[in-house]
Amino acid sequence: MNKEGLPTSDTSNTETLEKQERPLVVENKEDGVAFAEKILNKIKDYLKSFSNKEEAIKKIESTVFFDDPTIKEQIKNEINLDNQLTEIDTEVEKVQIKASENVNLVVSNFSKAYHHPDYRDKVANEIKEARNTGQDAEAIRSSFYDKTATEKENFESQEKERSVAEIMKEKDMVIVHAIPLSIMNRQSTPENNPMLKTGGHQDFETSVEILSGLSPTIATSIASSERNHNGLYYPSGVILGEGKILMARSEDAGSVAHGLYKRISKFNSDSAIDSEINVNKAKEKGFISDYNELTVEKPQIAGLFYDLTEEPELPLENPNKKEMIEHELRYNGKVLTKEEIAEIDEDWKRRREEDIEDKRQTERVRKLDLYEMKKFSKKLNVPLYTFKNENGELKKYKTTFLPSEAENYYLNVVKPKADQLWKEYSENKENKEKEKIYHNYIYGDEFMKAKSKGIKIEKNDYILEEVTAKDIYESKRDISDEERKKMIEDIKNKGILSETAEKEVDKKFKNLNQQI
Amino acid sequence: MELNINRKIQEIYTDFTIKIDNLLKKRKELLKLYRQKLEEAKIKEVKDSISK
Repeated sequence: MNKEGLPTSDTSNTETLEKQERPLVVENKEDGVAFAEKILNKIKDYLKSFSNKEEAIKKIESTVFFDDPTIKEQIKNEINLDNQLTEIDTEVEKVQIKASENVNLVVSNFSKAYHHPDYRDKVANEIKEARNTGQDAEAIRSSFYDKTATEKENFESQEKERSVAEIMKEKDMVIVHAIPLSIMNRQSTPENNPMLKTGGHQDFETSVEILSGLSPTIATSIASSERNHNGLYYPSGVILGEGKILMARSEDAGSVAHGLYKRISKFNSDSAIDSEINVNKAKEKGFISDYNELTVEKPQIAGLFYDLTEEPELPLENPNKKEMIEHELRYNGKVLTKEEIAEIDEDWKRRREEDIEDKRQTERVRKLDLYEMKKFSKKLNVPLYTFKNENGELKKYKTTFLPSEAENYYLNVVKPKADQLWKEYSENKENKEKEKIYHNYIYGDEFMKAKSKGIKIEKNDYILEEVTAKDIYESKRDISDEERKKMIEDIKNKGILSETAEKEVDKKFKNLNQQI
Repeated sequence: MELNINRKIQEIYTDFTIKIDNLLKKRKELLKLYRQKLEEAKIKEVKDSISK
């Protein structure tokens, strides 16, 4: 300090902030995990030698003294010193955290995310065994992480091949997650969905909400006209508009959920991911199951689907009749009598009649199902597409419903009247007269006919517009953060998620809770 | 294979040091500005007291 009270030029008082850190020399033989730990420590310690904001300011202020004590504050406010320093410090912290996360990702997070817990346990046991027997345990560990790093690199380089959106656009394939309209028809088991208290037996709307809101890793199929029932596990469900394919098989892969975001095949106890994805091969007709299976992470919905394919009528005569007659002759040396051949014809006739009746029943169910799909499409604000197998080609149609007088009459006239009668009855259940009026109405002709017509969709109640998978993808609507947050709240309020699943959801969407 | 992991980690670390150094440079400039302003204010205070 000179006689005027001004500091002399003293560079030691100036914040020295340039740290000359030379890049580390990569020691080729160093174990990946050990090197990662070294770097993580370096990241943690990088800023230790630098003073914090308050110390830095204090150091500078200690060199200059004023008669007027408010001058320092004035200058600080003038240059907005505190806020700017705080911003920089916050950014520094973020960069440190991100770097540490990225190092961890390279080494270990990929293996946790995609490897089967049994496989990881096996490696851990091998390491433990090696340590006990004096063998090279570190070689086993680093070999596991080497494999992991290579798999991760491979996985990340296959973004296009694994993208649901790209497959839709380039191959005109639709990847679907089938959901039955009736819980009674659901064939999930608690083993398949241990994260859900319902064991997978929740209603259609809740299933769609879970998929949309939580984006769990799910089992899906590529719809294919080469397969029975178009390769669809159920005739209804959702069409994906985005997601990343982890595994693709031309048969049922028997995948089981290990958490909301990890799905592993029962038949592969190694990894959740295939080293290569070939959707063309997965789509080909398999030998065993009617449907293929792809596991997809981070799914997004593009629409709902319903299969309207009409199975062809059985031919008038049994197509195998001739073979049956020849078979008896060749293998049993028997010539069938006229009566025995007539029995073959009778059996076929009965079968044909049953088939016709089944088709009528299917048609009746479809009319009701389509009404349900119409309601869900409107409520969930998601377009409905129908599939039809026409001449061996799976066609996709955007389905637009026309205004229905029958529906209007039922919803706006008949049902409100029934609701009112119910209200009057329920307010005084002792009143037998009210009870009689209510029951007479809902079992009477007016109500029954109106309901029967109102909740069915006939063929002239909708129009179909043929679309491609690319069109479906382009019509996809993204879910907003507010919508997602509401869905998550709804799902939690329904008490469907296990405790573990709730924690997974809270962790995955913690930023969402902080934003809103 | 080992080299792959180490190289990636090295890249992350190098990227980290570059980003941090840039931020710290900004910080240094800001503190330098503060010091400069303090010095200017001191000079003015001294001059004002002399002229009185």
